[in-house]
Amino acid sequence: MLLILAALSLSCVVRAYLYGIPFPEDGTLVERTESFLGKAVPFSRTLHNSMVNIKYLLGEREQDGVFITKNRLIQNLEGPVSSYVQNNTDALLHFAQQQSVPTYMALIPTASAILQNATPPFSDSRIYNQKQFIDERYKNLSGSLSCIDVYSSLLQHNNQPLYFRTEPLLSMQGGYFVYELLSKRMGNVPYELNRFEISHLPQVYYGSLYHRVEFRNVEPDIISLFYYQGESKEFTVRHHGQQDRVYATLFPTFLADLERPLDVMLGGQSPIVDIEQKKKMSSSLLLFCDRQMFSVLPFLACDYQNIRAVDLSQVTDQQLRSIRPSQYDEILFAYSVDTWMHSDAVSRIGILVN
Amino acid sequence: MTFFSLTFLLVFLPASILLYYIAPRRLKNGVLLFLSLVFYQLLEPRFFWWMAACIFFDYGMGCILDACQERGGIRLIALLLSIGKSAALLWYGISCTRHGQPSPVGIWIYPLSSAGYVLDLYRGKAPFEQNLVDFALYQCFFGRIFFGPYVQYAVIRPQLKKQKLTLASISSGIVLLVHGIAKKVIIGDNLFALYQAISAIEEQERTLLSSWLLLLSCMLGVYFILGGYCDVARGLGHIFSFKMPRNVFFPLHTRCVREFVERFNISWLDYLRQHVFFSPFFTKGGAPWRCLATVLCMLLYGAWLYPAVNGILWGAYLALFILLEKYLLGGVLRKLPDLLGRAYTWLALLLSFTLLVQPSLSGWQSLLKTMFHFASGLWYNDIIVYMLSQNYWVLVLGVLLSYPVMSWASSFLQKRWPVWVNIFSVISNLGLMALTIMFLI
Repeated sequence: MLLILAALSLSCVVRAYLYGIPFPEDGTLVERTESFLGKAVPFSRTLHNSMVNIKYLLGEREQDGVFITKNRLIQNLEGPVSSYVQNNTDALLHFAQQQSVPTYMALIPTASAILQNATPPFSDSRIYNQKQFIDERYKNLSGSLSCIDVYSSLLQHNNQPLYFRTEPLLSMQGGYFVYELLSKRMGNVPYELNRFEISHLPQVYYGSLYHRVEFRNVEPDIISLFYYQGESKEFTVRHHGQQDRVYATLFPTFLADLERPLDVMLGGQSPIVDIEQKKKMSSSLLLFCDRQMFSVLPFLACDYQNIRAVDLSQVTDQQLRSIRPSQYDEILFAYSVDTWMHSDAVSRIGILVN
Repeated sequence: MTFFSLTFLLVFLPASILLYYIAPRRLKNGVLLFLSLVFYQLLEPRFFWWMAACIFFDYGMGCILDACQERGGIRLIALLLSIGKSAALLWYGISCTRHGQPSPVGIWIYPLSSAGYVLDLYRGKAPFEQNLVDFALYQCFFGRIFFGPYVQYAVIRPQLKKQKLTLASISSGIVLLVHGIAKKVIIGDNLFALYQAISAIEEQERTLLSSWLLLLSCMLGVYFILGGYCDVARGLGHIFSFKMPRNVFFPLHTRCVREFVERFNISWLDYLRQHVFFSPFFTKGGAPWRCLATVLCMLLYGAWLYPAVNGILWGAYLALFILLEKYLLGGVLRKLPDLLGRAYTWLALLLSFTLLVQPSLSGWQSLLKTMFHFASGLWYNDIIVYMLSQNYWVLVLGVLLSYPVMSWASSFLQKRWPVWVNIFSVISNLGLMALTIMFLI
C-alpha cells in the first residue's frame, strides 16, 4: 500500500506534466496543493463520478445541494440572505419612484420551484417556497412599478422542457413562455411560437450542475435556438466590456466550436449588451438582468428597436453612470429568484439614483 | 492540512516516510521532530511559536526538577509553574470554545502531556529527559496532535531511544491509517452532517423520530470521528516506530455504562486515573472518597470531550451511572440477558447525549418531551423521512461497524479459508483506500 501511495504521488506529478494541469494561484499553499491534487490524481473524475453514483445507489437523491432525478439535475435553492434581499428591494424601490418611464419587474423562479413534481419523494420540505418569496417582493414593490407574475405561467407549462437538464437556467422553450407573458404585460403583442424556426446545435452540452454532480444517467443538454421566421429581421449585438465585440446575429453559433455552447445565445455575458434591430420599430427597452434572461432576450429583441441589457454584477460604476434611463421607453428588471436572494448586485442601481 | 486531505496522504506522508527512513538512525528523531513542526506550522501557524515556547518552558522546568532533587520548595514551585502554564493554555482553549471560535489544534493534548510529564518527574515515576529533541518529539509528534492518545513518557521513552524499523510495521501502519481516514471521512463526517441537518430543524417541526435520530447520529458521529483520529494516530505511530495504545475500542459494544467509559477515550481515562483517582489525596480515604474521585474524574472526562457546562454535565451523568452500576445495579446487570444489557447501555448513552446536543435547559426539556412523545407533536414528518431516506445507509453502516463485525467475520472465515481471507483482506484494504481517496477528492 505504501508503494501504491508513492506511485499515486508520482503519477500526479507525471500527469500534471503530460496534461498541463496548472498549479492554482489563489489561496494558501495547502489549499492550492489540495486543489491541484484533486485534478491530478489518476482517474480523479472517474473516482468523483463513482462516488456520486454509489451514493445515488445508496439512496442519496440530493448531493451537494443538487437534486438528482431520473433524467435531470435540479439545483436546490437555499433560503435567502435577508440583508441582500432588503438592499435589493430598497434600491429598486428608490429607483422606481424617481422614474417617469414605465418600469416593470419580473422575478423568474428556478427549476426547484417549477419542477417540484420531479424532485425526490418527501423533498418538498427541503424546497424553499419561491412563490411566497416572489409574492412578498411584489407586495413590497407594487405601486412603484408593475410586477409581472412569471411563476404561474411557467408552472402551467411545467410538462415542457422549460429548463436545461444540467444547467440551472431557462432553456429557450422556457424563455418563450416568459417572453410571451412579459410582452403581453408590457403592452406588446407577442409573436406566436410557430413564427420561430427551431434549430439545434450539433454539440451536446454538460452544464455547471453536471460538473458538480456527475450522475451518469443524466443525458447532456442539446441547445435549441429559435430563429424568427416572419418578415426579415436583422439584428446587431454589441458587447461592451473589457473588449468590445459585435455580432451580426442573435446566435453566433461558431462559439459552440470554441467550447462555449451556452454563449451561442447573444454571444454570452457582458456588462452591457446592446441589441439593435435594423427594421424600424417604435420603442426601446432598458433591461437590468442576469444570465437567466439570455433565453428570453432573443424573443424580446423582436419587439423593440433596441434593447440595452445591463448586468449589474459586472458593470462598472462609470459605465452605469453613463446610462440615461429617461432615453428609453420602458425599463425592465428581470432576475432569477436565486440572484435576488443570494446577491446584492441589484442594489447597485442606487448609483443611478445618486 | 489535516490527515484527511490529499496533500497529507499523497505529499506529506510519502515525503515524511522517505526522509525518515533515509536519515541515519541517530538523526531519525530530529527528522521526525522537524516534520512534526512543519506539519504544525502548516496546520496552525498562529499558535506555532506558543507551542515551541511551551516545549522550552517545560524542558526548563524538567531541568530544575532534576537538578534540585534535595530542595523541595524549588521543585514544588517549578511543578506549579509548569502546571499553571498548562492550565492557562487549557483555559484559553475553553474560552475559545465559549466564544464560538475554534480552539488551537493540539491544545487539549500537549499541555496535558507536559503536565503529566512534570507530575511524573516530580513523583519520581519518570526519568528526566536530557535530550531536548526527544522531549520535544514526545510533546508534539504530529500523529497525536489532534486527539491523542496520551502516552506516559516512561512508556514512550524506550521507543524514542531505540527505534524498531520493519517493513511489517510500515505496512500495518498504513492499513491502520487508511482505516482511520475511512472511518472519519466515509462514516463520521456523513453522520455529523446528518446530525447538523437534524439539529437545524426548527423546534415546531421536531418529531419523536427526529429527536432519536439526532442523538443516534451525534453519538455514532462522535465515536467514528474520534475513532478515526485515533486509528490514524496509531497508524502513524506504527509507521514511525512508536507503539501507540488504543484509545477507542468498540465502546458501544458493551453491556454497561462503566464499560463504555473504559473503552471510549481510554488514554484520557488512564491519565485521570493516574493523576486524579490514584492521587495521594483520594487514596487515603475510603469508599466516599473513591466516589468523589470517580465523580471528579468523570467531570474532567466529559469536559475533555466538550469543554463547556454541557460536557461537565455529561461527565456527571456518566459518573451517576458508574456509581449506580457499582453499588446498586451491578448484580442485576450481570443477570440480564446479553441483548437487554446492550439495550440498556444504548438507551443510557443515547439519553446522555441529550446533554451534549442541547446548549440550554429549555432546549433539553423540549428535546426530552419530543423523544418520549410528551409534547403533542408527531411521531414523524416529511422532513425527517426525507433525511432518513437520504442517509439511512450511513446510520446502518455506523450501527453495524460500532460492533466488531469485521473481526468476527474475519476470524470465522480465517478458520475455513485462511488463504482466501488473506487475499480478500489485501483487496478490501486497497478498495478502502480507493474509496477513501474518492471521498477526499
